[in-house]
Amino acid sequence: MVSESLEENPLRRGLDARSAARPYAIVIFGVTGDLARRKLIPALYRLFKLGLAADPYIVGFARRDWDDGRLRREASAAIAAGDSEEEETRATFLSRISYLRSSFDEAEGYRELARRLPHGRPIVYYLSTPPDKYRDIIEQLGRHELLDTQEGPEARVVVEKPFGRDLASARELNITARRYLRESQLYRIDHYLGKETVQNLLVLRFANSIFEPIWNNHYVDHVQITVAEQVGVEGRGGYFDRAGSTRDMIQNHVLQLASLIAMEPPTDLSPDAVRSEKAKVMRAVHPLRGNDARDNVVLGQYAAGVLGGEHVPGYREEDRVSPDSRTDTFAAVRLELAGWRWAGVPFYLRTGKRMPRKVSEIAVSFKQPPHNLFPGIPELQDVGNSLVIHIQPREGATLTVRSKIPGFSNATRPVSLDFSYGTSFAESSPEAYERLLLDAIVGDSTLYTRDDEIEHAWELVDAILEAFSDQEPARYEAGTAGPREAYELLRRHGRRWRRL
Amino acid sequence: MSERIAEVEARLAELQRATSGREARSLLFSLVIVSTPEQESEALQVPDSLLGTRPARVVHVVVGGKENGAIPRMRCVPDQNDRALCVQELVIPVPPGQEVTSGFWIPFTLRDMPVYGVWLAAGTSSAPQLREFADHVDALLVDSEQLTDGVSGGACLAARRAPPVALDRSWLRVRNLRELAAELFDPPGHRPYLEELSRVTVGELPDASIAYVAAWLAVALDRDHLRRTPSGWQVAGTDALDFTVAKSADRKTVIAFETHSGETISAERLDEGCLRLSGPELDRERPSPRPIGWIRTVEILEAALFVANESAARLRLRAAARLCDAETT
Repeated sequence: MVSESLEENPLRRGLDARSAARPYAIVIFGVTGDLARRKLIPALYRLFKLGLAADPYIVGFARRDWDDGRLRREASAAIAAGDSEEEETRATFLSRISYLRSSFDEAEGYRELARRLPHGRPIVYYLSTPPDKYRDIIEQLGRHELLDTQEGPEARVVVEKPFGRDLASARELNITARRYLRESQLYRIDHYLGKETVQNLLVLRFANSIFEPIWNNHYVDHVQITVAEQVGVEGRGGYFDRAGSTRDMIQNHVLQLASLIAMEPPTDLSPDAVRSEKAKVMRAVHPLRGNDARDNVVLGQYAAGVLGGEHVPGYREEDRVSPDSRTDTFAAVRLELAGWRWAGVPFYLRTGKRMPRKVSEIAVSFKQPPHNLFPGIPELQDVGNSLVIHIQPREGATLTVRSKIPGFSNATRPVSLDFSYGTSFAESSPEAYERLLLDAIVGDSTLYTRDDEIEHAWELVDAILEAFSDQEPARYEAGTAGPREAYELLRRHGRRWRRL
Repeated sequence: MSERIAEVEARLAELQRATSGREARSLLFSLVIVSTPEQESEALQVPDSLLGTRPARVVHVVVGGKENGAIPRMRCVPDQNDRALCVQELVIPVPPGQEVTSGFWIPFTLRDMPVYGVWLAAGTSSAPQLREFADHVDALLVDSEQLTDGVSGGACLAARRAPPVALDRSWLRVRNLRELAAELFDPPGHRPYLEELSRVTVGELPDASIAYVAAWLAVALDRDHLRRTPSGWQVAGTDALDFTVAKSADRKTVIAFETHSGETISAERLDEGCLRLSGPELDRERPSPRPIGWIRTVEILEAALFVANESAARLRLRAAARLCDAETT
């Protein structure tokens, strides 16, 4: 949704709200960090180059002893080298960047920021900092009236995950934010929602008439959502050992995917309509507490193993990880949702590190036909129809159907109807951060998460972690698809995980 | 004839195997481009934009071409997995003096796959050849700047509500200008001036696109009347002041809105890479590295593949219909 003043401009009718070259300002807190270098600066440059956000005013705000020149050199190195025609474009973009050195709780830094920021532009404050700095920054911005929106375009604050480390801290952060911001100004980013295939979930479900009639417990047997990583903790041992997979992945990415799959059709695509439907899914999740959690959740931790032919260390041997750590590097969760549509349909969520392959996908498995007329290859006989939505590495979707094997018998086997973004569309998909940053610039929060979604998700995750607080995580070898107990979670109901 | 078609298909398959080492991967659509020999480089931009992204067959009909027979070619680039991604290309010369009929190219398109048509041929009229061409494609891109009947030919085709979807490149060239004009009126204090415009001047765009600018303003500002006059396009409404849309005499002006009260809201090119936006509530510079009518080749293709939102499509149809009416009544 575009801000009102722009919608009233009759000359904007028929123009894509995201294609305007209108001016904006962005302040990146923690600009010297890894996220700014790898994702934010390249995304802003690409939006600039494509003319989608072509008039930026960028301020990098951080504590390190850098200056404008140093930040521009770092930004230049972060932008992939282009052809010679691009040199001028790069130079123009870099000239729009400046650096402000200050600690995040120092009032003078914010006074200087207030002096620098141009008037009349929407301002995005991007908090690319450790979460424990969010409160200081929001308070300082509020105290210095940098969030005041009585006159002129709206200021927006984008915060990175994790939003809190449990329900109590998330609520506290929401309360602090509400003292200075309206909910519509707070953008809690989950970069998974910026991925093309994830956005396509809504299109797939609600722009096609063939899926919705069977998207319920009459036809769906179960849903599997997998976010598997090959990497270990990659230098983030200090952070990860305090978080674990359930906090780091299930609470946000995986539950967001589940809510997009399970939600009812929104009345329109406005941020509140979409996010209200997602929040209803979160509310409908049966809470998992005590024995219920222990029966329906498996937490694991990787031991040393072999991945791609190379020996990799176990989690407890990783840098900055406690040698007796109980942190989960794998989580498998069986969820059920209350309500007519999904009653009796389990949602299996799985995430893990040091898995054999990097895969993010959602698989909707449909029930078998009530009567099987055709013989098949015995080991494939129980493979039903499935719709697999591939999020990464190959974005697309696959529908598995049974087909007759050519020949004189009526034997069947599963075959795939495949759709891949790479071969079906001329333009490559924008990076998730490009889409999400552009949305923040134009004031569209549909793909960001709302306070109630976050709090419901923490409620679920807190209960699980509480139930496992005195338990050792199950061990699995690095390079395997998780602990044996995770297989049992499905096997006892006659199902199995999709092969990674 | 069918033997000749079979020979060409066999040659294409052979080329595909030779260049990519395997059979053709699924080709997604046929793209038929009609151009003159002089427009070869312009015409080749379209298949070039497909390279590495979409496997397709391009049938290039060259009006007044001198070669004999269909010439199969293959363009391939490696994809992300280092497999060859190929565009099959077939050049079909139409001898001088002969009309382009569908018989020249239909047999070489892919069966049951979409067919997109790009009619670039300079000096041709919208009727009857182009009409016949339109009847056999799923989406059509024309360029009224190249047609002998000019904007009336392109606009009347683009205003058709029946399939195929027809787009005029002269309209696509206006898109960046529309963005710029909208930006000039984003300051709320500028909006009332839209009700008292006296003259709008436009630079950096060819005549057919300026006609579309006039039609667009008529639609966007709810004016009922549009007509061509010696001083430009006159836009009028029952209860509104008239204004004229014309080519700018000043080379610096990209677009200028003048009002009856003497105000000017404008965008002016300072140098190749920069624009100055000015008005009562606006005075700033912003980057704009390319001419305002510049369109990326891939955008032309996207447009041909219907990538547009619904409100954009409605606006395009209304502007084309307004222009077609103005030129034919």
